[in-house]
Formats: sequence, structure tokens, C-alpha cells
Amino acid sequence: MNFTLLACLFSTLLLISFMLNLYIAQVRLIKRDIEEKALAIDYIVVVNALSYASKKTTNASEFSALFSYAINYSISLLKKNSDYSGELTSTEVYYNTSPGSCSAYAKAIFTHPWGNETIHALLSIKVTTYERYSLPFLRHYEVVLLKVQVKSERPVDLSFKVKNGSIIEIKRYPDQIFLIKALVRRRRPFILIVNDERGIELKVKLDGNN
Amino acid sequence: MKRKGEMYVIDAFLATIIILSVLTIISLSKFSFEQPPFLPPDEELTALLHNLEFLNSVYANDTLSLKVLVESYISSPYNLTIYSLNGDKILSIGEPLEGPAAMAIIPGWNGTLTSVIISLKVRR
Repeated sequence: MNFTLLACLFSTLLLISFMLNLYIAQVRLIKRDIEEKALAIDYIVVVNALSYASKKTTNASEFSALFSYAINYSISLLKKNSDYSGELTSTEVYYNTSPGSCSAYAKAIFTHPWGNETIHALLSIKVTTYERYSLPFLRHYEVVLLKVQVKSERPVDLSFKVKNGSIIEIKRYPDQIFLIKALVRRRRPFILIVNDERGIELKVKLDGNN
Repeated sequence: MKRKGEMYVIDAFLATIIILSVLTIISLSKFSFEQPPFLPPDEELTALLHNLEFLNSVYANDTLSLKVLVESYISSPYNLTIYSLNGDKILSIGEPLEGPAAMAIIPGWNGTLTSVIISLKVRR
């Protein structure tokens, strides 16, 4: 009966090790899902706060206050209504606007039971070429040609609008470079409004007297 | 002497049966573990939450886009329901299902502070 005893012993050890592995794998699976979901929610909270602020103001100090309001409101709402475990540890917000460029960036650090998670969100627009010229048969309008470089922390779809005019043609090149041709009212400032699919809106103002 | 030899053979035979039975049980259990029926579909919901088009469709109440997006991630029968924070049903796609649901609260999207609850059930 020696072989049978050894087989029983070996089988017991095998079963114990299998049950332990099964338990560990299951815990890891649940833990990974919880972490990934919290990370997705963190990103949504940061991007939405950036979008909220960008739609309400173009003033840098107001932008920062609106961002803080939106992010704190979202987190308190999540904590009140769900088992969301994140604590906002720190935030950094930049909103820069100057003739020919505009950028909105936010960095937020969330503390979760498993560690810290850093979320970045960025949308930046820079007009690298700007040409404005008149056509003899268009008395009230001018043609504007501009090359725009867009930067974001992840690939996003963009839509462009023009204040005081309309876009005729948009050409897209690699590295998020766009060539835009627009008609704009004569001697009016040219304002390009860029929206990404996350809802972040940037306005780039260019001089009307080029 | 002959009897002793027979005992060894029976012993070895029993030991082989025990080990083979345990190995069969383990391999069958491992196979069934790959699809745990009792866990909510958090993995699928998380993948959807990372998709910007999904979030835009939820906030636009675009059932057609939602259907296309969800079906590109999930091949089995599912039910996706969006509720407002006070529990009113906004929209539902898929078929009515019983079982555990993966839930997520979205505090706002596209610059709004309007919250929605997303509930996803998948038949394993």
C-alpha cells in the first residue's frame, strides 16, 4: 500500500496548490478590474473638469478655479453615490493663451488603496503659419490660410470652427498638423475655435491686420 | 512471493487511478474557471469606459452607436442600461437579463456635470 499512500499524499498537495492558485488568480482578476475601472473614472473626471472650464472661460485664473470646482464636485458625487476609493492628492492646471496659440493641460494625482495614479490631459493648438489676403471679387471677405499643430496626450478627433467667417477646406497631415482655408470678414480678428471629441474647447485669436 | 507481486501491481494500479483522477479534476476545474459565471462583467465595462466614442454616445443618447460599440466588445447576449442619478431609466439596449451587473457612475462628460449610472449585464 506504499504507492497508494504516496499517491494520496501527492494528490492532496496538488489539490491544495491548485486551490491556492485558483484563489490568487481570482483575487488578481477582481483587483485588476477594480483598478482599471477606477483609472477610467479618474480620467473621465479630469477630462470633464478640463472641458467644463474650457467652455466657460478663456481667463487663466478663472480657468483654474472652474477646473477645481468641477473636479471636486465630481469626486464628492462619486464618493457619495458609489464605492469609489480615490482621493484627490494634488492637481496642476495650466491654461495659456496668446495670439496664435492656446493650450489647456491638467495633471491630477489620485490616491487609491493600491497606490497613486497620475492622470494627464492635454490639448494644445499652435498656429505655425498664418496668411491673410484679399481677392478682387470678394469685397467684404478675406481668405485666411493657416497651418495648425495640435498636441494631445492621446489621439483625439477634432472639429474646427471660425468666428466671423466660415471654413472652406481642411487638410489633415501626419503628426496632427492641419491646413485650414477659411473666409473671414475683412478687418475682423480671426478666431479659430477647436473642439476635441472629449469636449475640450480652445480658442485661438489672430490679429485682423496682417 | 506471487501474492506479494500481485499486491504491488494492485497498489501501483490504485495509485495511478488516484493521480489520474486528481489531474482530471484539476484540468476540468481550470477550464471552467476561465469563464466565471458569477463575476459581473467589469472587464467589458472598463474597456467601454476607456472608449471616448462610447462616452459621447451615452451622453448623446445615441442608441444605434451604443449598440454598434457594445457589440464590437461583447459577442454574447448583454443588457446595457443608462440611468439618471435618481434612478430613472434613460435608455436600454440588448435584451433583459438576470445576473450580476457591472456598474459605474459617470459624474459628467463633455463639460457637463450631469451624472449617469451605467449598468452592464452579460450572459456568460
